[in-house]
Amino acid sequence: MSDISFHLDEGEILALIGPNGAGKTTLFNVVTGFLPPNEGTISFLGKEITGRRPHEIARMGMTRTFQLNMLFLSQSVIENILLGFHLNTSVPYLSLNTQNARSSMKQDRERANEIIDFFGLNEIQNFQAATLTHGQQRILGIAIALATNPKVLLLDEPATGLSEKERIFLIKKIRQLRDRGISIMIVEHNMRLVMGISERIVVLDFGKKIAEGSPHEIVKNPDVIKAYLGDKYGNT
Amino acid sequence: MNMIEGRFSAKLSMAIGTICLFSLMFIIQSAYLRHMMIVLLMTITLAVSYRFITLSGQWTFAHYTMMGVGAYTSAILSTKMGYPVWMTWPTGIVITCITACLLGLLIVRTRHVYFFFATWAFAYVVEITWKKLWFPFGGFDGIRGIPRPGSWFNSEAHFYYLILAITLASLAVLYTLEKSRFGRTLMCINENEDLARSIGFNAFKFRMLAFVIGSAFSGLIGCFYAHYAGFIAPADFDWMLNWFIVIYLISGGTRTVLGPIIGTLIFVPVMQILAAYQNFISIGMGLYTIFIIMIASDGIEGLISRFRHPGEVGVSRALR
Repeated sequence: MSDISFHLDEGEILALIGPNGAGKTTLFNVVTGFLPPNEGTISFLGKEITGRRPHEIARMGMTRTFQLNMLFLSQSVIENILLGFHLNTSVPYLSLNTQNARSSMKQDRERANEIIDFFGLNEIQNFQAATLTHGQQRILGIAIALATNPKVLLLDEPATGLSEKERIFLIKKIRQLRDRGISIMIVEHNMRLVMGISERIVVLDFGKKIAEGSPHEIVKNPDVIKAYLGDKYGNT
Repeated sequence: MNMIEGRFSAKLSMAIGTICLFSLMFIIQSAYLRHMMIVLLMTITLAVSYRFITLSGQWTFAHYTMMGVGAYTSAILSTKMGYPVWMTWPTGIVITCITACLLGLLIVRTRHVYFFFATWAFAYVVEITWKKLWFPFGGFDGIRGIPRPGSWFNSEAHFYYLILAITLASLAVLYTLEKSRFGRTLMCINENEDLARSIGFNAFKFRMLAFVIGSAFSGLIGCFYAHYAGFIAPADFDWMLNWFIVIYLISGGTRTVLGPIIGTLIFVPVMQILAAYQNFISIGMGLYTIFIIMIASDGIEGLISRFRHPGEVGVSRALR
């Protein structure tokens, strides 16, 4: 990747699109600290975070999801979300059976229930994560990321393999998250989803940024049509 | 109501079990059997602390070496410098922790089989150091004349009480650690490290802590062993011995703390009984391990729970 520069405003939904192998996921990995950049800087909330490790970046309020379903498969849905509370829980590491530990555990459970309600996972909350359907696992992945109480959420292809109904549900939930004040950056191939929710789009091709702008500008951009969208979108 | 009764009976049975264990010395009079009981308890603590390290997915090969570090530290301090036991033991544990920390800094970033090999290399280097350096480790001959923990320690029974107390305390500490948030953290890092890192777990720190805590218990057992045997040599902490712990864990199971205990309780006596047929032990061990992996990939513990809850399929953590 080279020559990529863009910003994410507060409370914005930014989409990152481009053909396969354009470097979208790599960009995510660099931003969240999974891969160190060779050069260039990344700053977040006015602080430079280049080269920080993933857990430090998560601590600052930037959480990502993964392209593949990444869950704690042996744990139940609610336990997955409880583990996501790691950064903001008051449960002590050595949870002896004290009054204090029990009350903070109860608090965590209530917060987990809120997230479960938000994503409509109530009926499956005690299922083992490995037994869920693909769509439920995708949603649970976002739920875990949300549990860290992020300011910025980076969603890596959240809608892959979802049914139409699940996709509509996901769009609704992403909008609601934005309304809560969480900035969202989303990598997606599904153009209907991207056009539907994003306020700004950045297009990558071969590791370079080829366009940036509102959805309307992007669909008319000749470079983007050539590299990614094809004539169908260009004509409409 | 039911739960309270259940808890009460669990506490009661634990108390009765503890009393039985402590009173065993009145039944067992033979010095050999007493020695066997002590070895058994030492091995149980080693195996359980080894399992604690594996919770974070690290199968170390330097567990006996860490035991040796504790043993050598305590032995050197008490024979060459004449410090009392209540000073040498904590020093032994601290030195073990520091060794584990330094080693961990280098190798905790490695995974799976690479971790295994890195710890093995360390074990080998340390063993050679003990063998080659006459000062202060005594070379091949090791260190003799390590004093007993106190002047009133004059029979096997006293050592038995001491190691029983150490074992019960270690089991309690390791069990509490595992059941608390710390243990769950280790397990989730083992299960999906990338996800764990993305939601804010400092995976390196937790792996390191697991390694250091597990090694500390190994060092404690080393201190006990040095003063119990009165004589230590590099051969006592041969890296090959780690195979046995791995086999205890694989055969017993790693799902709960009971696995390594079951594995040890079966294996240590069997090996003592077959001690006369040294050549056949290795063959038997190999066949037995193959058998266990094929028939009960979750260990004996998994086999038991499979009989109790039929239909459940489990895969051993060791094989993932």
